[in-house]
Amino acid sequence: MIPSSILTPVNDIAAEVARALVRVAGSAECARLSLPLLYPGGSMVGVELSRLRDGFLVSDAGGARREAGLLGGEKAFIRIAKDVAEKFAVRFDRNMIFDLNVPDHELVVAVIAVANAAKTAVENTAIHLTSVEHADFRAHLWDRLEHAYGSRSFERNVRKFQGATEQWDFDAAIQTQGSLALFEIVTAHANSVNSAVTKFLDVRDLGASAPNRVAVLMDVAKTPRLPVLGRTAQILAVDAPDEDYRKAAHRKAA
Amino acid sequence: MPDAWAGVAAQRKTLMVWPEWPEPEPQTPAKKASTQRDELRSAAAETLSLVIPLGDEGGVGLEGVRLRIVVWAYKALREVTATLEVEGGRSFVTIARLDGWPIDPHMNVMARGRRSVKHVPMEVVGHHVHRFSDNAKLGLPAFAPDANLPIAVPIPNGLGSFRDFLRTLAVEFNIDGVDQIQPPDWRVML
Repeated sequence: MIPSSILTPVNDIAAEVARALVRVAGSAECARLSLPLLYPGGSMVGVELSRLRDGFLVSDAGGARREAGLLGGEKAFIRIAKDVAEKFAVRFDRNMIFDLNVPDHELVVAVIAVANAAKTAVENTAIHLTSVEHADFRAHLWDRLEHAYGSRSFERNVRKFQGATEQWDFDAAIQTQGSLALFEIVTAHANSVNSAVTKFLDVRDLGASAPNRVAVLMDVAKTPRLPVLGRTAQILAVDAPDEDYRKAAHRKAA
Repeated sequence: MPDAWAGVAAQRKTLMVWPEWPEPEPQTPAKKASTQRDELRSAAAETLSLVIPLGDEGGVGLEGVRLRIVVWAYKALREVTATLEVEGGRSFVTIARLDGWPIDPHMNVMARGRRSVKHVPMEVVGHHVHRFSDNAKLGLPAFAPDANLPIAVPIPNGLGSFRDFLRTLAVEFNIDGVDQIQPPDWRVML
């Protein structure tokens, strides 16, 4: 708690805030700074300093990799952290983000660099985890559509479409013979089904002018709430034959 | 928010297998701290994990529900973390997390100005739990990897041992028998 009253000069309050922003703990051999940067989840980013024969070792002590591992993204992190570490001019050795033999006069910058690299690497891993699976599936869907319709009638882009109440992104769209079909990838999770149903319902509410809607399922057997999904769109397995893709684009959902 | 998640968090659960801690990855012969930047050995940052499938109180497996416990291989009772995970999203979604002996403070930045979590302190120093019920008040985005259960509260009692951690875990995650897991064979770095 920062003590303040109406009479306390703001610069004194700021000085108290500054003191509270960084915590220091540890021993004469190894000290840890908890810095005002947060990993996803809210933990402050920690950086450790230890003395070497020549200068200091400044490292995240493996904290970033541990946080990424708890997100389920350790493999992605190892790839991402290498690039991020280079960007901040520090090192990454599969376990730790660090710099070695840091001279006294570079310690502040080295601590800032290691801390920001650690935070950025975990954040980028989290963003990657959120997007990569869907991106992989989308590329697969585009391959299938290209195969079924040919590259001339199909663009490998996300399609924005205005529904009855708001605009939605669909994973793909096909315009053939004067009719539009919107495709949405649905994974075998309730969240994915719910998201698709919301989009399809809003498009269906356009009435007679509503385009065809196709839910492309990554795993039909494991996808929950299929009857609900089927009331808003046609259901198509991602590995269905080309002919089924072509039919689905022309057949109206119930 | 999938209804099933609240059900998983609240129901009594059991361990479907009896877990054993893995060995740390074998180390190559130790080198002295080198003056060469590329020669740092960072085995001190090795972690050990247990991933345990969970069942209901009758011992019937709960599909896609698991417990994970992560420790440092060479640092006893330091940053011990357990997560309750359910199938969803990319592979698994963490719906609750317990942190014992954390080194760095936790900041409840997402609690500012939100009446639904006004009971939460702005800052938590020491052992804490990211409860499903608190984070669910922020909605589904709180469970995405880039948010990662942003709300945490101090655990009611202190922790004196790994067994204490497991007892707290049993209560917080509703898992019977988890307190019987043996602690890892924490090594000492030479």
